[in-house]
Amino acid sequence: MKPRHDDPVTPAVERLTRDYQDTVLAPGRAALRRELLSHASAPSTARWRWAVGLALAGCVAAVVSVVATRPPPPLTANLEGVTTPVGERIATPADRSMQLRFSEGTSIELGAASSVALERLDADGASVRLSNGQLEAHVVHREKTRWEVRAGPYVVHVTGTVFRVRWDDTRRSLWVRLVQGHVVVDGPNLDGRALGAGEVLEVTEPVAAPVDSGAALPIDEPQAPVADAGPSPRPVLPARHAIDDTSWEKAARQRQWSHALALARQGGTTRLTEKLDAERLLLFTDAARFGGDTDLAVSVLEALRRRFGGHAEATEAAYVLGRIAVDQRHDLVRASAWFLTAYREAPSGPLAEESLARAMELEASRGATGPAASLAAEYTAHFPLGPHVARARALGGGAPK
Amino acid sequence: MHLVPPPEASASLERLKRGEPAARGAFFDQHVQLVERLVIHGMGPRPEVRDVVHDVFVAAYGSVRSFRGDAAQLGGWLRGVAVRVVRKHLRRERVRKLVGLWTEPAQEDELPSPEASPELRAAAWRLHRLTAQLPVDDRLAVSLRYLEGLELTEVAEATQSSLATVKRRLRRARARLLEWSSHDVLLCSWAEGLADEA
Repeated sequence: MKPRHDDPVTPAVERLTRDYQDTVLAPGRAALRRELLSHASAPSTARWRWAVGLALAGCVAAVVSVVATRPPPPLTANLEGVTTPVGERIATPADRSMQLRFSEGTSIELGAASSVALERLDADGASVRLSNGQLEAHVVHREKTRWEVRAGPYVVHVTGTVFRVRWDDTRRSLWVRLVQGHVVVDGPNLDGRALGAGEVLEVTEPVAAPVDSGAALPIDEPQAPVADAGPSPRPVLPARHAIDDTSWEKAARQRQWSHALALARQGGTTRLTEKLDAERLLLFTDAARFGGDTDLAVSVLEALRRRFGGHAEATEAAYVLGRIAVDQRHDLVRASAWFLTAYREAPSGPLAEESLARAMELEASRGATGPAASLAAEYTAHFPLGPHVARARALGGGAPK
Repeated sequence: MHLVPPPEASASLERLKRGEPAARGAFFDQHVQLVERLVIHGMGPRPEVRDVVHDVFVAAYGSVRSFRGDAAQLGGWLRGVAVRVVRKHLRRERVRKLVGLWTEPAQEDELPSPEASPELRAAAWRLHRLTAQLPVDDRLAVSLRYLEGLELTEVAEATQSSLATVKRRLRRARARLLEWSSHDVLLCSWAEGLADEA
């Protein structure tokens, strides 16, 4: 089976390929033909290298060996413009978050009243210790990366992804929500728990048994539930909501979107929309969106924004509303407005750069040159190293430095 | 079903094997767009495409003498040559990345596709970036099966692999693409629509 007939991506790839052939390759075909027929055949990449390369082979080998063995330069980090060395302890103010940026593009938003320290910084990434509070990381994926967030005895291993971590040092409790990508969480009783997009992990550090507490229970022996039994030794799912049927959530976490949507409907979508917490509302949105009910996804997202205004999830909802507007409803004006909302609400957040770039591009594509140029200028000012800076400059967002 | 090629096609093949310039030119004219498409699907739309297309024809001219099929099978044979050249290029690129001699591929903004919907154009570009993260052989299997639309047996022939290996690569690639595109509704929908080559 090939991709479905109503799949818009495959024709788009075909279109891109054809355009590339027609506009980039076609003008050079005659020259390529002449080249192939008039010269001795040798691969383009090798032809001139054979001529000069043999003579220089020794030198090249020496240079390559030096380059290959020389370690790449370590990353640098700065906190709102101030270079942050390894070992530096950062305590954010009680009323605002701060942005820790790394030279290869990774950024970590440190929540208000949080305490972190940079424990390692090298060419492959960094290790950040979260002593208390929360952070939101947007890690740039590269071929070889080694990023970690440490909290108490737990370690979140990261490749390229967006995720949030909270660590309550008093309760010794860790909370991780993965927005996109893939992370592995290690720590007591976890054995490298892998998290997929949209998944949440809550875990509380097990308490060591008192020395004179009598005979210890075998570690795997089930224990009877005891009121106020203290921290659980195993990862626990977020507390269940007071709705009878949470089977939709299980199905959604297994990415069975249509099934999850059907189960959610049995439980009453209006009731869920009004009672679920922000995290679960985002999961519910995914089920509706990928299960094929865009209208429901939109109404859930709007309810999320109404009920949880000011929270990070509300900003994420604005971003997703933008995606739905552009991808599924082809409403460029509304999409641009949502992306701009997402950007304005969290200009240092993990979705800020992409939101602003999308708003800028949408304004340009609908011919609104003035707003596009204004957003382009904002983009170049805020994200001078961003991946869309060339496009922003082309739209009038300032000359390259 | 195997079609018997007309006599003039067989004569052209013989001239091509002898290295006659006119036959080489005709071969180029007949197949250049096919090769370009295979290369773009295999490695994405990038400036190196022209060089790789060049190398495919150089390799084809150099090895056609040992081609034992008939003219009707020449296209399939050329596809195999193109896959080998693209694979070699992609592997060399990984080495260049390791020693810091790699240059970034073209950015989305530099790509010409003025009339395409910007969202779909962006999705097509994101798809190329996603597949670029796959292992080289998996990436080639995906491009041949899902972008070129070849049958599994044709993918196996072009990549000189067994059918079981092709299925395994496609299954693995599909799982990864599904995971990586989970928050991209267009690409996720695309990946979910792919055949599960069980």
